[in-house]
Amino acid sequence: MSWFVPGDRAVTPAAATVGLLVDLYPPPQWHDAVRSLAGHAEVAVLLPGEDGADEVGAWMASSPAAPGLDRARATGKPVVVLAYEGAPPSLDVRAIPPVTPYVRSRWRRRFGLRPDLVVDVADIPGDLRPTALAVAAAVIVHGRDLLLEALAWGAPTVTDAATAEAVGARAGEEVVVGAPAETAALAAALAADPRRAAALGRAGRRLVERGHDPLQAATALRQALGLAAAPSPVDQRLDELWTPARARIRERAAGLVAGAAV
Amino acid sequence: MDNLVAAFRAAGHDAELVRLPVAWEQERLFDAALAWRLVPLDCDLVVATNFPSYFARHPRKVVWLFHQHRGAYDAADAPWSGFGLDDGSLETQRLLSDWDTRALEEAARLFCTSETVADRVLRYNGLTATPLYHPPPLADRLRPGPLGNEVFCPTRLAANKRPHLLVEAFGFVEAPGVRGVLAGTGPLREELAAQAAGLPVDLLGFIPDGELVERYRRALAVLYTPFDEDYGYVTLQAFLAGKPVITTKDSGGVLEWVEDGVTGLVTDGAGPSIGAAIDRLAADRDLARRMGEAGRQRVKDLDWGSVVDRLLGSP
Repeated sequence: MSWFVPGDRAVTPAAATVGLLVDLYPPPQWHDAVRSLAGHAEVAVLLPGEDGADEVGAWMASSPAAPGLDRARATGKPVVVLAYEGAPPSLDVRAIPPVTPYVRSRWRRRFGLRPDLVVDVADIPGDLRPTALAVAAAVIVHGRDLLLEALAWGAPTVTDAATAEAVGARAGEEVVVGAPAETAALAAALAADPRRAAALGRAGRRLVERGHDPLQAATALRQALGLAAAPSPVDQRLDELWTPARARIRERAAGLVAGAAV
Repeated sequence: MDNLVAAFRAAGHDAELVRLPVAWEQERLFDAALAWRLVPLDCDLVVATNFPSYFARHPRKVVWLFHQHRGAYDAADAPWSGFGLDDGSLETQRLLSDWDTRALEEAARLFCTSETVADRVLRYNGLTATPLYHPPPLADRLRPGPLGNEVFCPTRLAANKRPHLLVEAFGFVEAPGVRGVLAGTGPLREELAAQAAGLPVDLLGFIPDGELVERYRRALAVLYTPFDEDYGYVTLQAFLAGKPVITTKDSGGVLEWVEDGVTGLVTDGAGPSIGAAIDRLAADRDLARRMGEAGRQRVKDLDWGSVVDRLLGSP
């Protein structure tokens, strides 16, 4: 998990300030989170015990090593921690729709691609990467950023041990791990095993959703503070299924709730 | 579903069957799933069985999956499915498989009606489910009887059930006096009647339960050759009546029960091989009897009480 929100704390009044605990070099997604939060709450960089800290209703830290984190936890207020080390790019997980191996196989039929298509992401131009990650039977990726992107697409993925470790992916659970000389063979085997590919693809997506979606931290904090307007019950149900913003069912649901013919 | 409700009540629980209407057109496919998400269910346990009921929300949701929306998955290429390779179909399948996965993951326990269905859940959704078998309808009325001369095939006369395989087979059957008997209704009835002209095959249409039980009891064997069946009540009913089952190697859940040469005969589905299987059983009635009894031994202990215990989480 790269962030968390204690779920059993009392909700803090909406007027409270959010105290920011910041490393010297916070990761880029920290800025996304703060920007998202600042639209809804007073935010201030300060430490527990400093002037103004009594007004803080919740704390958000840029990493587990952020200064003052232990003291912030001791205040009993909600604490959100972004637990990245280093600087992976901001990943808008909700903008990437997961594609199961079965649907991938149908897209390959549609495009006339090989049924067992394996893509080594290093070999393709960047503008083709989203399509490749969405339709390939298996992908080979190296590097943390690319692995996160591949897993967000639900791609059955082969990578190296260092990359897997960098995102907390477990060999055989979310990814297949192999030495460079064997990745092609491992990927071919994965492409030929739709059951294993489906299990890995789902587990990989779950890892990204739960652990690598920085905007969730800000959203969770806003909701913990009562700052975010609660979505309608219908939107809540659609959101919990990760329904895309432009999915037709959202339009239909809105129309049905409004009593319109849809 | 009525049998499941009755089984819960017999075990001392209050149980109610909840249904919502479903629209199957792609455009409206998610409506009922979302409706299930919004239904307040004031009970201690929810058991969901089919698409889209497993979208129900409950802290103790147990899924006992009979099937998903097969037209979007394993039957996507069937003429009736309505799913093509166009953008709209592919996005609907993508979103449906994602929604399905998330709804099924919510379950405290995930069972399937058969290994065949569990395999689909693994293949299409990446989730592990446990097969949970149950008795077929009429289980308490089916009894073994003497082997007669009918190869009985009770099934809906629809393409996925492949009733024409029985008719084709009887073009190759050589055993004297053996007849094929198709019971059931469906869109293929006229086509089958024309195909069966001049062959020792009878099309009974609908028959009441009493006659169904009697036909099972006095059959030589039961032929059941659907394509990739979820579970296959016909197989279990045949075994309860002590009859061997002739099937095909692509009949899905039927093959979880029919072991070739032990409880029945598994063919390649071609007319000559099914015909040869029928001739073999007609010529060796002792073999047919042994297979039927072996089948009966495999299903005789299926009971609803065990199903209820498993759904409730009892060991």
